[in-house]
Amino acid sequence: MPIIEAHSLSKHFKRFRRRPGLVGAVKDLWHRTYEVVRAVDGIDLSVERGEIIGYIGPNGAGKSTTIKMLTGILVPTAGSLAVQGLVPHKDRYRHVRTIGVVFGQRTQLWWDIAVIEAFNLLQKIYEIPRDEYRQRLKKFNQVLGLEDLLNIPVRKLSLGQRMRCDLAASLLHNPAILFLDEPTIGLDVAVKASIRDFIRETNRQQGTTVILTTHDLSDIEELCSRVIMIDAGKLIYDGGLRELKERVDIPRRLLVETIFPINASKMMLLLKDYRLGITALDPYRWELSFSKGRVNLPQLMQLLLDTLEVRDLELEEPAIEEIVRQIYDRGAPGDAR
Amino acid sequence: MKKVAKYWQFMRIGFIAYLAHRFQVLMNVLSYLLVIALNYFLWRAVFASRPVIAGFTMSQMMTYVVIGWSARTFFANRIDRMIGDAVRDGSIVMDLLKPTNFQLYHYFRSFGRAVFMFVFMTLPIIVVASLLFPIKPPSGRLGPYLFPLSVVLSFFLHAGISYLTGLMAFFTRNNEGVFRFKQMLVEVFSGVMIPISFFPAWVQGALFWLPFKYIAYVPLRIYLGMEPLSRVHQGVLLQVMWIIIIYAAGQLLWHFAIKRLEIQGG
Amino acid sequence: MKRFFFYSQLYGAYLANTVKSRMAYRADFWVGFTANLMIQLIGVLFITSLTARIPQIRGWGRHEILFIFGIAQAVFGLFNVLFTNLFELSGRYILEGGFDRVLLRPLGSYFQVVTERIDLEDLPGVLLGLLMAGYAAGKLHLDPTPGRVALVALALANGCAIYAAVFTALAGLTFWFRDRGSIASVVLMLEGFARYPATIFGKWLQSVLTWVVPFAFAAFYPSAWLLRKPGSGTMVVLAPLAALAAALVAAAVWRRGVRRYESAGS
Repeated sequence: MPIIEAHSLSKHFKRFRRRPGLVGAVKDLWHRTYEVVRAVDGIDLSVERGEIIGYIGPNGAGKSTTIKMLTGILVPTAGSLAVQGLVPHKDRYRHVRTIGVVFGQRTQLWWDIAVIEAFNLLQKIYEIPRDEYRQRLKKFNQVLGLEDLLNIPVRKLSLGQRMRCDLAASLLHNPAILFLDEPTIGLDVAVKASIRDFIRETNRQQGTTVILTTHDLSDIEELCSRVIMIDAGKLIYDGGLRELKERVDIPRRLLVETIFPINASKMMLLLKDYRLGITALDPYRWELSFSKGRVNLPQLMQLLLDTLEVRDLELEEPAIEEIVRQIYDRGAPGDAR
Repeated sequence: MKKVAKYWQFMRIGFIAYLAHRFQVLMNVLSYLLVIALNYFLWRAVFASRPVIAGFTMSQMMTYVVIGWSARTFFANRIDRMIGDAVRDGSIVMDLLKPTNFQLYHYFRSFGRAVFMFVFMTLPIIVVASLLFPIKPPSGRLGPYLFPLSVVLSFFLHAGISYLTGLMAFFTRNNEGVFRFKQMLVEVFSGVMIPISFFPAWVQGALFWLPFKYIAYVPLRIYLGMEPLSRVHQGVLLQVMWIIIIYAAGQLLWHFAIKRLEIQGG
Repeated sequence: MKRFFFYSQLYGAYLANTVKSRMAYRADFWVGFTANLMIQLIGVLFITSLTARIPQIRGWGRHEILFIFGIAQAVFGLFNVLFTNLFELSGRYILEGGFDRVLLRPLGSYFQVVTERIDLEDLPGVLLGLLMAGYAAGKLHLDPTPGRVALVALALANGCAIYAAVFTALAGLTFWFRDRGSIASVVLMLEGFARYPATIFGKWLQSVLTWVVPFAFAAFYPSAWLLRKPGSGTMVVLAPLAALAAALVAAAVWRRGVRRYESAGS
């Protein structure tokens, strides 16, 4: 039985449309016009126990709204939803006992109190047996390196520190499902890596199901076997990451900056063996675009470093918006439409 | 000329900012009508025992209460809270980068708000209140002319006091208590809640040296024609004097305040 | 019963955390405490000045009025200490999305909102109110018998519940209107009515304060009974029922409101 199951799940908001200017604002005082925003518009979901799912889409596509329905924060406008057999908003207490949630933008902890106090309070709230709590805390301390943070008030933590604490807090009661909304946003590479490791380990050891929204495609590549993509409230892709990559050309860009100017024909000649799009931004800066998997990247970079006086190399990850556009352009692969 | 345009723009911002909150406006109108009703019935009961108390007749007192609280909708401001919020969330840095007199920016932005409040709160409240309760038109030879001027001066006086209070946010994190204290000081000692002449002599003596009574008590006595001509002029002049003193104090305190600036959060 | 024990234990844990985080900024705490003390003192000055010049208001003697005022001040102070976070409900919780976190915990949402902050700085209101009532009781030769003290304690709890219920119902409207309405101000204004003998406002207003917004049950009716006013016995018995009725309305508003919660952003 799927752990999460949704059928034509929808959430519509009524939004007040502001009229521009002073006159418009005065008019709004007496009569307001509203528009219906279909934040989530009839999606079907089925998630099996133990999966790690990357839930992606452009800004405002409906990712957060979906997560908020799955966690029981929002009441759906229409459709059916069952998480472990429970309707989240109706059976809130029982439901939230079995889930953990981390929002990257906002902490779930109490702003003014020390991390350890917040953890202790959570132990009481979730009625976690003492031994179990101590054991788990010890493990989290080791894996996430929390020892030095425990006595600091949450508001004084840096973003990366806060995120590690939030993650630990969300797993103290050993939830069956972990919801992560942009967990790596604004974090540096080292913290990202430790958070990904931790998520992967938790999934492997506890069998925790993970639903992850992100803008960072490398999160998806490192963690997820399955990708669900949403745009304008509708699912546009649901399937394996590998199939997505095969069917959609995920373009990457390598920016090369050289110390000396290079002319175009020389560049063409140098790179003739690679299937690249070559654009000169100016004689010092070149943009090489290529499909992932079709170019041996280490080899290419070695070649550039060996033959040119390189000042800087920068690899640009493809934006999710770009993949979405490609899916529209080529017709959707995978099972969703 | 450019300067004038700038402050006009601040006023416009202050005005527009409140148009989006019609629920808030409605609630404010409601709560002011409630407080006017409370005071009306309270004072009516108080005056049931005696025709004249502390120099006020019953009908003067009724007018005093209704006009006083209606005027408060106009001269109230949120400058202290705006500064407090800006210090707390760090956006004060952006304010500091603007090539503008911070104090005048707040004065005029709030004046825009006051104009908004006048149109959407003060006027409706006076209209409704005058239907419900007996109030007298401004009396005396100068009342009708000098009262509006005097209330505008009240606004700038109160704006200055709020600004000084707001700067306290640079010195203590606990703004809420300080702001509420200021609000209570203004409410009681400006004469909005109770005419100054009701207070014991020692309080009246102390208030002589303070700016508060020039916010409401003095303008309201002008409205009621309770002051002789010479005192009317004196009252308005003292309002102007206090505005200047407090403005100068604000400029001075500002220099100490920005030295204390530590940005929280980030 | 087990649930009750569980929640009381948690309340204790939350309370301990509040005290700890407040004590981390001891200076700020004392700023707030002192400001509140001053606010309450100004309130005392107001009511004593009001009553000083008249022997009685509509049959209520000076000390009887002070007694009722004191009890009401203590009740409202207690409400402010225990339910202060309700003032944050529309802003921080509903409009800014803080309610998300509340809904993610396996606890009552109302319990969490109320418990996340307790305002010990408002204790001066309780203390000064009780002092004033005690002083007035002394002047009225009401000895503090155990029965009277118990009744005052019950009145405090009951009155606090009434304020909390009315405030919750009004603040809960933000779930529908989604506007930073200053509902607080409406309640604060209404609360003013609870500080005086309800009969001085006339029959019509008295019924409103009894049957619609039952603030008269918070301080007035219990005090009237202690002051041996005829006919107040029935009303004292009705006071807990009034609190219960208000609580039921508040609970209904809350439950429906939570279902309409829209979180912040999209």
